[in-house]
Amino acid sequence: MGSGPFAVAAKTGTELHLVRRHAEAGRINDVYVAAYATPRDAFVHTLKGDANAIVDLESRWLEFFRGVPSLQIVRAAGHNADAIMLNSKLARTDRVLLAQLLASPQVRDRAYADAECMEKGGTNQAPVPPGAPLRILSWGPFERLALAARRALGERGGDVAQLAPEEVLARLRAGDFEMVTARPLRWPLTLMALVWRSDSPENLTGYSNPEMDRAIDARDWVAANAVLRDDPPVAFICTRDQLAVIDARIKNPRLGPFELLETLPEWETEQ
Amino acid sequence: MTRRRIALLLAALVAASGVLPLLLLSAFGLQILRQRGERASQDALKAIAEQAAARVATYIAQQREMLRALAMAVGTEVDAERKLADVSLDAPSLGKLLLVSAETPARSLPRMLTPAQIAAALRGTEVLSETYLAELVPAMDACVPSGKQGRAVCTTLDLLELQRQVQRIRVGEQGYALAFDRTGRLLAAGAGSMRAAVLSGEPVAESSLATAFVKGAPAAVRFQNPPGRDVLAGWASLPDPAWTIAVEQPAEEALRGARSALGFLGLGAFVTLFLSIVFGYLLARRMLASLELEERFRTAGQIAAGVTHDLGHRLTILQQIEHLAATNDADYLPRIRESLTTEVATMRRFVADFADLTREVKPADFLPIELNAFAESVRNGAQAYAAESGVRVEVAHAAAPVWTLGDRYLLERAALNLARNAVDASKPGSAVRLRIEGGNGRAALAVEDQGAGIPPERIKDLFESFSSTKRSGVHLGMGLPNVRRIVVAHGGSVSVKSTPGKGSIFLLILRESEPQSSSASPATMP
Repeated sequence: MGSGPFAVAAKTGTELHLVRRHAEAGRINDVYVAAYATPRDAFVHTLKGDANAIVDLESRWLEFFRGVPSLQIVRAAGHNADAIMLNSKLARTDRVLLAQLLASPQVRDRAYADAECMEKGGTNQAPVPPGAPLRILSWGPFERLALAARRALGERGGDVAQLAPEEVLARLRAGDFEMVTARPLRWPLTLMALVWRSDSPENLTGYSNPEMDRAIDARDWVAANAVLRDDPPVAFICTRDQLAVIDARIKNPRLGPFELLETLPEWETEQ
Repeated sequence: MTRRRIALLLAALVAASGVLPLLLLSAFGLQILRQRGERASQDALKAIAEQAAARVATYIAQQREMLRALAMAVGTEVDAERKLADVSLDAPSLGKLLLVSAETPARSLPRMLTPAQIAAALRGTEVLSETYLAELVPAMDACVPSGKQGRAVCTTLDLLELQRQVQRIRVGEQGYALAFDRTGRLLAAGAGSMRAAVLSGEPVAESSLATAFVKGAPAAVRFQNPPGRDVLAGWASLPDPAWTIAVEQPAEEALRGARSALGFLGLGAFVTLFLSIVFGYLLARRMLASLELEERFRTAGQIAAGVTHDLGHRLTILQQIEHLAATNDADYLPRIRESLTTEVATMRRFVADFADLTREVKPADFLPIELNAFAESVRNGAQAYAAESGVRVEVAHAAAPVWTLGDRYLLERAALNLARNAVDASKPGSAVRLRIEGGNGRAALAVEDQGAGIPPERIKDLFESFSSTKRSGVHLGMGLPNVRRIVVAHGGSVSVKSTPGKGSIFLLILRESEPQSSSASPATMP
């Protein structure tokens, strides 16, 4: 918003004020991006009407917004997938089997019983590669996913460590993990480079595959996906819709295909 | 008054006689219907609240029962902690189960349970915390025995399901349910506008009502909620935990059905009334037309009988005169002349009486009349007739001029009629007095005689048409009815007081008008 039709007019520690460079009737001309202390505060202020939109919600929290006449729920295809990333030190053949095992309907159903996932395929028949128990690092909202993964691993399911995000990050950087829950970008494909290229600062697991680097450089996304399948650094479990709750007075709001609020300049308001 | 107006008036009178009872019945009926409608709505809301409370109670009981069963089944096993953690995959509503013992660090213990409660749980007692806001939803901590001394299984029960259950309860278009804990905290709200209070923990208007209700106070079944909206409510409580369910519906919507029924009833009553007026009007017109025709025939018959009788009488006299004239006797000539003069005068009066009946009273023709002068004029007109009977006509003036507005000709005809009647009733040598009175908005002319008086049984229909019993001359019985017609058309009245053997007083009362200059009133008849 700041680099497009809007310019930053003011900012504080908790609020950013954006103003449309050229005011337009029937469109949003002023945007205040407010940071509340807790998600609960953000919910409360949205329900009270102090805030006109709240974005990036878990589907279970929609319960609070359903049937509220002043609000509308808006969905868009998700960009990120809840996933389990695998340490590249694990054998490639193990990772292929583990990815098949984890990206299975049973794990998906156990972890996301009440949510709709984009992924529909997979098999419950994938064998568990033999070996020592695998520890799973987890953080934030992923404990259930970690538990579902552990149950799918059976005898190879090791401890689930539910940690603070910074602890998880430290362990990733140190390579001190075998499996870790995460929510990597899955779309747009052009951004895959951010996550999987060998030298990308966003490549937190240290995955490195020259074929992947070449495919990314060649912008050959089919090949890049093939590498992800053949030398998997990750098992994508569930890509869910992106959700936003927006003031009902705003007409036809859409969420952007790349960034959630990139289409905000086009949202229509009452004259 | 036209037949149409009479018909309308009759129909309106008949309808009006039904309106009062109808209105009274309607008022009582509407009140009863309104009260019953409101009570029925409140009963329905209470029933819904009780169903919801039973469902919530069952849900909570099931969660606790499941927790107890799992704790007993898993709590004693070696890898109990791992198995308990796995339970959340199969029973997500139970939250994350923890195995708690005396060694469990304080930061890992359920946050809302007090040390005393934890100690009790470790001794094998089931404990439950008050509700609180955990992360984003109301929650409640619970610990149950694990089957092994010194260990308990604890969890944080996620109450989001409660929100789902309450949200599913819809009453009409705008009715909703609310769930409160024992302290009045809103745990779940069907109304979107109140959900912020679920997350913020702020009390709502119903919080105090819920707290009072759970303590045994009577349920508030109708009240104003904060936006000033009048709502009906039904309440139910859960014994364990001591929560309350309220189901509310805006009174306007809850009573819409009853109001519509009342509206239709009212409309039906008014339509019925309107139709009865219309039919009554049409029927009354038909009946009046029929009556009028009958009356015309009857009147024509009466007139014909009177005319036949009177003209027959006159014809007899004229035949006698003719016989006298046929004798060619000069001695009879004065008598013949005198008789003819009398008969001509009589026939003239006869014609004049008929002429009076055809003259309408038109207020536009009214002129100022001073009654003292008017009485003198009447005396002049009646004097010759009175003199024939040896009766004097006297005038008793009012102390001051008395003015009225009227058709001078017709009023004088009416006054002369009364004066002649008085003369006819008087004995020779007696007097007829015309007395004028004014004041208090009245201009009165009294015609008094000292005759034999009128029998009381005749007075009531004295002013009815064709009721005269005088058949000695031209007395069709139209005189007094015509007097009344004229006076009433002037906005006045005529009445009679009579004492048998002493005489009668006919009192003619008109409206007094503003004084005028004396030149405005001619003293004699045109």
